[in-house]
Amino acid sequence: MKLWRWVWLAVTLGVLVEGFHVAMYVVPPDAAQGNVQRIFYYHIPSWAGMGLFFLINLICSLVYLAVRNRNQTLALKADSLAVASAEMGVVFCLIGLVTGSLWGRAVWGIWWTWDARLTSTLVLWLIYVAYLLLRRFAAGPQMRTLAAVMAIFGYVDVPIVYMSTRWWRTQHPGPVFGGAPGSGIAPSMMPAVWWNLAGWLMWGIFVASLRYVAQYREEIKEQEAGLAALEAHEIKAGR
Amino acid sequence: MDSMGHEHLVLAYAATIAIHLVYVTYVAVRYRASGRKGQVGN
Repeated sequence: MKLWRWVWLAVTLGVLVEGFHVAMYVVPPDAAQGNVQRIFYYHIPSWAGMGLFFLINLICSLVYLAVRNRNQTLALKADSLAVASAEMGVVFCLIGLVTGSLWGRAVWGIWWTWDARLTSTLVLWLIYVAYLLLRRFAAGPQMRTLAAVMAIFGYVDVPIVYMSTRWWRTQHPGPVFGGAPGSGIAPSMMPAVWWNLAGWLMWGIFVASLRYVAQYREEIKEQEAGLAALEAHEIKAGR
Repeated sequence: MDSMGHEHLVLAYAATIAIHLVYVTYVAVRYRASGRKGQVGN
């Protein structure tokens, strides 16, 4: 692993430790919910991470479709980053669903409800799990193209998830940031949001960068093996 | 609600860490395996 990754990892772990300290021991408990509201400091970074990595997946899928016949190297890099970002997004989405369910159990008394926000988020998670399964089990040259197209259609659910609490009446509360007048949290709680947002996004970038390298190496090897097989076939055929 | 809330807070934190640890272990294994023959793309 390169030196910059070790430095990035060390800084990330430092930010996460400080984020934990600020979220659990420094910022005050919520006036209405008490300490359980502190789940918010892990819940929100998960959604931010999900949004960031699914957006990267969308951009990489568009780049792949645009350059796949003209620039093989860039296409493979875009495709590898698309896989890495989709996996990272699925992980963040799963954490958001789990932490949300635990929070819901504490404050609503239920683990789950089929309201628009929760349902559209579960559908989003399933779409990207299906995307990864397609990549895992489909074979042939069209697989990457199909996956890229699926990623573009899958991303349509992201703005639906984001807008769901504005468009429909939901059990899930309205947006905390950028919502109705009076929404938001107390300024004294914001340090916990910033530290954890920074820490978990840095963690996501670190892990996705490793995953990208692994995927790109595998795709290069796969391409080289394909070319070698083609050459061997041509030699055997006497061309 | 507060004691129940505390339990759920601990579970949420533990779940966050556990899911990330499982995934980063999977990524580390893939990363190491991909680097065994030839170093490309890093």
